[in-house]
Amino acid sequence: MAERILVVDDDEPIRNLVEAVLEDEGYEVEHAESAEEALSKSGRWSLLITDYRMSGASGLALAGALKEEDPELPVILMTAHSDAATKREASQLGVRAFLAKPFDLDALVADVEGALRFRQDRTVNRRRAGSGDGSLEQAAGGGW
Amino acid sequence: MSSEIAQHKNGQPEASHQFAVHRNGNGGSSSHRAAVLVVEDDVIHRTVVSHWLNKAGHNVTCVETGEAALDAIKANAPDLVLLDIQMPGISGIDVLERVREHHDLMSLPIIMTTSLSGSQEIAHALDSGANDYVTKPLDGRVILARVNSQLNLRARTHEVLKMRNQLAEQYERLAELDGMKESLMQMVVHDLRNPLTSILGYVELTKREEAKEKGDPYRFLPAIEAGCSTLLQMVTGMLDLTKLEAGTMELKLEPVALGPLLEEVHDCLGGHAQEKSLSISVDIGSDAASVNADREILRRVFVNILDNAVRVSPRGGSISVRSARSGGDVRVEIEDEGPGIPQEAHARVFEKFGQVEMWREEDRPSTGLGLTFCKMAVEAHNGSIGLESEPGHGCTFWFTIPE
Repeated sequence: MAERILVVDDDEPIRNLVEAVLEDEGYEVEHAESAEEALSKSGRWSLLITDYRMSGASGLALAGALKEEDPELPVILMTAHSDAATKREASQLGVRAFLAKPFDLDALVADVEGALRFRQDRTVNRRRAGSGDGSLEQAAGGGW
Repeated sequence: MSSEIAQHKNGQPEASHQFAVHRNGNGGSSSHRAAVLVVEDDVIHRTVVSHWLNKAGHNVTCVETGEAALDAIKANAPDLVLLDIQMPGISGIDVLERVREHHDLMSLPIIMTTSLSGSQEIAHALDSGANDYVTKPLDGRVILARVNSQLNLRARTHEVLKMRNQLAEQYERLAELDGMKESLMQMVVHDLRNPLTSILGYVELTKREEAKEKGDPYRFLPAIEAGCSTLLQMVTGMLDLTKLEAGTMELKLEPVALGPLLEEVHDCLGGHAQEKSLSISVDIGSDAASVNADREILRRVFVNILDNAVRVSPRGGSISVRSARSGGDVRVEIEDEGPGIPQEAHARVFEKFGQVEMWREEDRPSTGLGLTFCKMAVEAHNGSIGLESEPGHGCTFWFTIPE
């Protein structure tokens, strides 16, 4: 099954760019121009890539909302300028990687691969640990 | 209260007396009446001193003891104190020390009077914060000269302090402006990053496409071109803003027909408006079809306001552009169905640093300096600009240009 990636940015060219790159890599990509639109879409995502500053709710708020449903959802945050406070808040929320604009397409692909692999490893580990053990599951949930 | 004095408050022990501080508006200059407190147990000395000071126009209060002196100063601090060292009860030096404990009274001029020829007492008084001393028998002219000299000194000190405070205020304001400029820079750089990211990204994609067997390297050219146009528009806007601010922008005034101009603007915005399925209606009044303006500048005013309207509009919304006659002016209104702008932000929307403030305060993308440009451009045409909006009910930007 193809990985489903959600790309959210209020800047259309960037949205299209990220989508084009990831589709080239064989991923299934959906996009939204705002956190609100992203939340209205249904389905499970393998990965969220979102801009930080957007009209309406921020990328971090979106990440928080989606992680309530899927605590292990990996998140990559795109920012043009990120201060220490933002980074701290983001890492507390379990943001996997920062992509500073302008970013290298190879870096984007590498971050995406890393995030998806990490999620797969977690899933495999949890299955190995057996279904009755909730502690590992919890630990995994907090890690992202 | 000057900040100089306030600074001494830190780490100071609580003074035993709470003194009310009274300052003459004139700072106690010798040419004005000064409130002088004479502390003297000897009736003859007291009479002589008050006589001379009264004659010179000063407002004299006399007390006979140290306790009474402290009470008087506590009730209403004078401009100057003449203080006898040797008195029954609390000595003059004790009074001096108690007064100087209080930070608000550090600069109160105190002249000691002493019948002692002992230089040790005088040195002790000066060490304890006395400003000057006179020896008995008292000579009226000398006392007056010393009093005036201290009052003059105090007036100068006040002037210097006042200037110091003014400078401190100016410094703070400049530092604040500097911070704003810094943020403005950050905002501008931030804004430039998006088009740069897409241009560089699409160039990279083009290279990848070229390396593929069946790739189409021209596929991304329109996206690269669009990114470059956005970048150019931003840079031009910023340069023009600088020119307008400096007053070096030359306007080429000519009659401009609004209809064709708006068609041009519409074409320029077409893509974005279409993508959001917006409908843009234009209603030009027959008596408001033309203005006397710099065509290119006016075009950019429309582009900026409409660009903003397109950005904030909900999918499928509508934007209405109207022109009508209003006195000797043509009034243009651009109405959108966006989220609207709260009342308290109305004034800041058009201000350069207002935009920066809003950008700093909110985790929102900046709306750029486009509206600041509009305000300056419209004002350069002797017109005015404003907005009407209630949150949740869209926003109407309006501007007027003389016909």
